[in-house]
Amino acid sequence: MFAEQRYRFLIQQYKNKIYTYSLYMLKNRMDADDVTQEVMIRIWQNIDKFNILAAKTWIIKTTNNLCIDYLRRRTVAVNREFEIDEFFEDTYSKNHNSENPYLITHFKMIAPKVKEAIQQLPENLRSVFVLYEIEEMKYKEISKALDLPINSVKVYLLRARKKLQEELKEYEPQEII
Amino acid sequence: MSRKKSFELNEEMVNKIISVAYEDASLLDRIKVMRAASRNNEVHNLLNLYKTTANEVKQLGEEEFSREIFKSIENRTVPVKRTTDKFIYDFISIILSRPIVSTVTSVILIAAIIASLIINKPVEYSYVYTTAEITEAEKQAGYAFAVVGNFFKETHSTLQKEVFGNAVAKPFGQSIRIINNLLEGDKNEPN
Repeated sequence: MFAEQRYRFLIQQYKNKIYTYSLYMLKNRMDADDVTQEVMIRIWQNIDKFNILAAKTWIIKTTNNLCIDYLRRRTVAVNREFEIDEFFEDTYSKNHNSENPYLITHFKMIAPKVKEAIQQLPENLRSVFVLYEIEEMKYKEISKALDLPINSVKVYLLRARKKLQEELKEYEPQEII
Repeated sequence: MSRKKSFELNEEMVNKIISVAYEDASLLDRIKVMRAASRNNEVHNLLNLYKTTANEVKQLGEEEFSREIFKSIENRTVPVKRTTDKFIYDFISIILSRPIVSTVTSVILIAAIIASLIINKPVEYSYVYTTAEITEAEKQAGYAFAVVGNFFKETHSTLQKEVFGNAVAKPFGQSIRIINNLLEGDKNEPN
């Protein structure tokens, strides 16, 4: 019952999460659009089958599987990894609440670099990092969505943070002044 | 010497620093790192670097999915199923899915229940009877009691005369006499 309402609710809740995850994983806006559309269609097809409260894990799992399929296909097709920067919109400046002009400028300058650095992370570290830091999922949810033990999730997250730090070394605030 | 060691920048300390910077460390780790940072410049600097990165990562928001694509995908999915559903089901679901409709319906139902409870109170009569009516009622009650009294009297006499006298006492007396005759006869018989 109320399939349409459930569908609309889920889409409103998760469309940006699906899209964000796909974009970080695929590094390409067009592919991310395709994956998001495909996930939305699958949600609609399965709307009567899954529990709406457990939908988040199902949706992320489906998105992740589709992203992996796209990445596998891409290894034999054209490598489009260099297209990433131009496809990211400036969502960074909308979210911070600092009124310090220096910090705002710094954030605006560094945001694309942070996104790029995240995208340069290895696939397994990237998926855990994006789900934890950007999608704000819990260890348990990530573990279920990616079929990984919780300890692996924690280890991957730690490695991702270290690697990201290394990547961003050259963009430290004092160097921008 | 051991005190110095606790502020050393080893692998374990680095992991704790990262957790503290990303704000998901335990309270104990946080205290340890803050103490180490206050006494060791290397720890302090590393913590600040990670905090900066963590802050930058936390400022990143979700990417916005294109509305045009969203509309097109909605047209491709939802209406396909909608045509197969019954009109009445859709109509009811549209009405019931609105919270305002559900709220108003609940309020009306509760109000109706309360109103019915207030309106349907037990009836109280305030009619005053006249003396003649009371006398008449007493007469009628006396007559009714007299009828019932007569009925009991008649039943009592019937029991005494017919039931006890004829049906019980007579056969009982006869049976006693028979027993007496039998016993006396036995006594008079010669051995």
